[in-house]
Amino acid sequence: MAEDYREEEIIVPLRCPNCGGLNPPENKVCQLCGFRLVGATPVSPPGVEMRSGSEPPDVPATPSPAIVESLAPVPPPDVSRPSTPSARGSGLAARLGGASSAAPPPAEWLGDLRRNIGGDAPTLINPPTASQPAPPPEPARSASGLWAAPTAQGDEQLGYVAPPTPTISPYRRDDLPGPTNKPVDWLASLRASSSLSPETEPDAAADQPEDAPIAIPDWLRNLRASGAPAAGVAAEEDEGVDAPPWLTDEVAPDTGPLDRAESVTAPAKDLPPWLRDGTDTLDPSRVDQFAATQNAAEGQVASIPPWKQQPPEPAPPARPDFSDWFTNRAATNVAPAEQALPSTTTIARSGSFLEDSDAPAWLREVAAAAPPPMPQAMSDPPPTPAAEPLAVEEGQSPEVAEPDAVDEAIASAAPSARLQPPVSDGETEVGVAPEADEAATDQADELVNDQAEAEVDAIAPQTDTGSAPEAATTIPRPTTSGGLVSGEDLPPWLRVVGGESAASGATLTVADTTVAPPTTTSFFPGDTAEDTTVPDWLRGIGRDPQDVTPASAEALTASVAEPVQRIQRVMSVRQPRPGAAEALAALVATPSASTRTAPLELKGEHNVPASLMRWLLSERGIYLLTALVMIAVVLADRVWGVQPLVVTSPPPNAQVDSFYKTINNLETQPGAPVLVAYDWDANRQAEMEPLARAVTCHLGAIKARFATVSLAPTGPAFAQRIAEATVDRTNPCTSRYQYGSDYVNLGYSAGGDFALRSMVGNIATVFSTDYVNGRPLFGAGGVAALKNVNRLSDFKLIIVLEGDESTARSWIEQVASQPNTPPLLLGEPAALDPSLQPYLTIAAPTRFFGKVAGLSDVARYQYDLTSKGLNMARTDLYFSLNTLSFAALLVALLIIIGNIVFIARLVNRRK
Amino acid sequence: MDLSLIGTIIAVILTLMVYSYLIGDNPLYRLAQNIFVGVSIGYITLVVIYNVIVPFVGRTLQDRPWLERVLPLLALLLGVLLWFKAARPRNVFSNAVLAIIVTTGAALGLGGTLVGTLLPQMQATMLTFSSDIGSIIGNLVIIVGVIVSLGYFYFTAKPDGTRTMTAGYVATAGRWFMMVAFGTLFGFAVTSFFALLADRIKFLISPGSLLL
Repeated sequence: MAEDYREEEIIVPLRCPNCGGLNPPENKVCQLCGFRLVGATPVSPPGVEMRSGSEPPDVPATPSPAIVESLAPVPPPDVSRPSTPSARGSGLAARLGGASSAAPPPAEWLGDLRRNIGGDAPTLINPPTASQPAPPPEPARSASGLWAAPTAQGDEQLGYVAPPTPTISPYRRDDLPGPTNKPVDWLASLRASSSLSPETEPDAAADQPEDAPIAIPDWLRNLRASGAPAAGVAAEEDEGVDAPPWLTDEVAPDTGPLDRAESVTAPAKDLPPWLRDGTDTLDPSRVDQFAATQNAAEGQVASIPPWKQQPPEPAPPARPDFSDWFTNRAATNVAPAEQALPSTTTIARSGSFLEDSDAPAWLREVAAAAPPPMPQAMSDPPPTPAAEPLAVEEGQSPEVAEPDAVDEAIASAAPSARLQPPVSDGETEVGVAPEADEAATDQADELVNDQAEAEVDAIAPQTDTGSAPEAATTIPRPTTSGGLVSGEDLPPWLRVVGGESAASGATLTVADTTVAPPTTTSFFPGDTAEDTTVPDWLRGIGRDPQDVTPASAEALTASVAEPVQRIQRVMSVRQPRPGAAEALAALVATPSASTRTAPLELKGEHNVPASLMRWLLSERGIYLLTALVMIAVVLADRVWGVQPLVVTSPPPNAQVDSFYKTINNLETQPGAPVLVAYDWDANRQAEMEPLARAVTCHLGAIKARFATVSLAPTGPAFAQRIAEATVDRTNPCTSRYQYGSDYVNLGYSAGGDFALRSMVGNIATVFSTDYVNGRPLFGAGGVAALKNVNRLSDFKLIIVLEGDESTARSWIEQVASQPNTPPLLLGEPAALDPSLQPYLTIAAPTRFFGKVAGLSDVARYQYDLTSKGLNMARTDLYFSLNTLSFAALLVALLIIIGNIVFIARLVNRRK
Repeated sequence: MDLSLIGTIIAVILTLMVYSYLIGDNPLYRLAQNIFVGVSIGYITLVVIYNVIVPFVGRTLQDRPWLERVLPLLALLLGVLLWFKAARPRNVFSNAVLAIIVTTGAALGLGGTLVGTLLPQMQATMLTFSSDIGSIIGNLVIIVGVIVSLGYFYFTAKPDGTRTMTAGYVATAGRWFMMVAFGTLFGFAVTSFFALLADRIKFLISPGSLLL
């Protein structure tokens, strides 16, 4: 069938999941609302079930007449292709059956139609071709178009329930709403003349001007007067039915409440007062939105082929008061719920409907004649007051989702902590037989699951309240005898009911996804205080009296109802997504919602140690703990002179020893100029200052002249302070050293790489005066410390005391890489050692001759100085090393503890 | 009172204010932070004025050949044009000055990087295995580490988005090598800051220790 469907080049439109509108299949976004159509399901035509490749084909090889009829496109009332179901069915049946392409002879009523049309024949925008029928002028969003009514009616007579909305009809490309497809005026007028009110037909109201003449063309009136052939049955054409009966009335009088479109389009005079009100106050947007959100369920319901509903055996004689569609249902043992699945809201409303005196007589009679609805298998059967639910199930009353009912359902659904599976006992359903079609039951099961999941999502926050421990977070799937879910899989409170349902093969009172708005989420019709029509036995299904009392449920309902309504008022422009308002309202109203995100609090005696441990293991706690340990070590050193971790004889270090020897080699060249770069800041003072002192002392000991430069603004200050302290007369390292003659401070040079490169060529371009006195450095009045020094290559040694990696790289790239550059020595903090180690390795043979990194290397360097007789005051250095050693041990201990805790948590988590 | 003692007292107070951050963020810490920033900027400004600008102007005004006097003036003019950046961010004059600075710096940095870093680093990986076993192992680790670390940044993959198994293993090994390197850097950095902390504690307990 699917292949035939494609062969006919019938375009499968895409239904927008947001607005429900139909779109051409090539559209990526909805042309109505702009919603993305990725993942949108194509709309299957009525009678055609879109199956995947894995599913077994259950479609007969020969299409049934009902399917053929349902596949027929909806042509406009063109003279060459009348829009009668019989004509359409016969024509397409001939094509699908491989018959000759010759069109069947038109009936007489068609000839009359041609003669009566005359000049009033509508002008088609896209005239039909021989191979492709003319498209219907009305967009598919119409809930009840003129063309849809006879189709549904004809299907009803065939035992097939028309799809709830005409959107699941096979549309061709031209059927889809587009800028070029405007509704034909005559059809708009005809629709306006029908009993459908503008409130219930949003598209008609939108497409038709307010002042549009509501007049039926004469040709159509004549056509109505003449009548149409029997719907959907091609054989009736041959019997010479001249007038299509569906045209005698605009809407079929007794099509039953199964079809949503029919119920909406029913004349107001035929509706009871409560239904008229509901029809008048029905919000079309809600219906459209709900139809869009429940498209999958619709497709499932609509995809039930009529041939599957054919009676396996001759139907017994129907009761005379029942209409044909109902008697056929009873005969085929197919529950009405399978054909048009009523919502629970409908159940609630149906109770009042039955009590209403305006209810149809046939329905009241059915309700009166129904057996007692009390399920025998209920574990706690409450008294059954009446057979109202039976009448609801049986009668399939017209379903109109009134706004009040919707609000009540929202208010009742949100606080309900438990979800009642829509399972009804088989005894309470008329027309439900164990031998009901299994495939149809499976589809109903899927529909129930879809609806139930949506309900669970909507009421999920409420299930956490604990008021109902057995609250079904997943709706127990009503099972058949061979279903996947057995009685053991059901919760205890549902096992009896579910088991009975499964055993009896009873179908379910699943929600009518075509009528009920998405906000009708209550599985408990009796949860609302206003709803008194639901019997107690239905309220008691799935309810544990020990957990939830009616008073608590009502209180919770009242607390949530107002927020829900408030949310709905705020979101009046666009309806919320299904379940969103309920979930939000339930989340706000739930007492535990605020405490759910609260941090874990330990009470009692466990609170203080846990908090203390948590604080100690935090970053700030580790800092403070380390500081306390170091303070304790310093106090122990200062007070008691304890330095347990100090090594007075550091181990040999090749780089440090090379550093020492390189400087010491200048001893043979007294007065050799040496450049010392102070490129460190206060943050490196702890490590660099001891090194700078040792280097200055060493230079003084070998009687070398030195000049200090700095690429850091604070460098000259440190250089000057250390130099002045070192060359103190009382210091044996640099006795008889004077500023200007033995050493000079060149100061700070801006420019980084530029300055260094300039110094390579000419120092005078960078430094012209000294840092202390501002005296000229070069020339006649220049300082003696820079005698015969004009460029960097004139120095015998360059000692770079670096505190920054980038500056060190500048020295390497701009100075050390140049030819004729003097040997370089590098002093750095420990943090830079890994980064600068590669440069030291590669440049060692030619440029860098040693390095001192960190306090440990400084200790070794100072230890080397002792061999020269330079006993520097190493007390502070040892003091720092002792403190640093304790801190290193503390950090190592914390790292070990942290890893143990981490591994323990990991093991516990895996367990 | 000796000025050095006053300075030491102020330094102690400011140090305690900074370390009050161990308890939590507080106004004292913020005050010390702001004082440090302000003093640093003031000091740097004075250093730049007296150690950069004044000597530069002095050299320019000296009795030198006219070319040596014009070039500093041209540099001074370019510096003044750079101030237009404050008035109009897209000023053509300031952009021209910036273009000169950027292009000159890029050329200088490129040459220095190529000669001072890239080529020497490539040369450092060309190691021999002729020495003792320790050096052989060390050189082998260096070579393997360089290869796998570079392989980690080999992002080429098949059209289906997958990489070869060899590339995956190499990338994994390179990631481990880099993690070891980063861990080493972090450990040394912690050591440096602990040394600074010990120095500050020593200063707080015995402020006179800064003076030899």
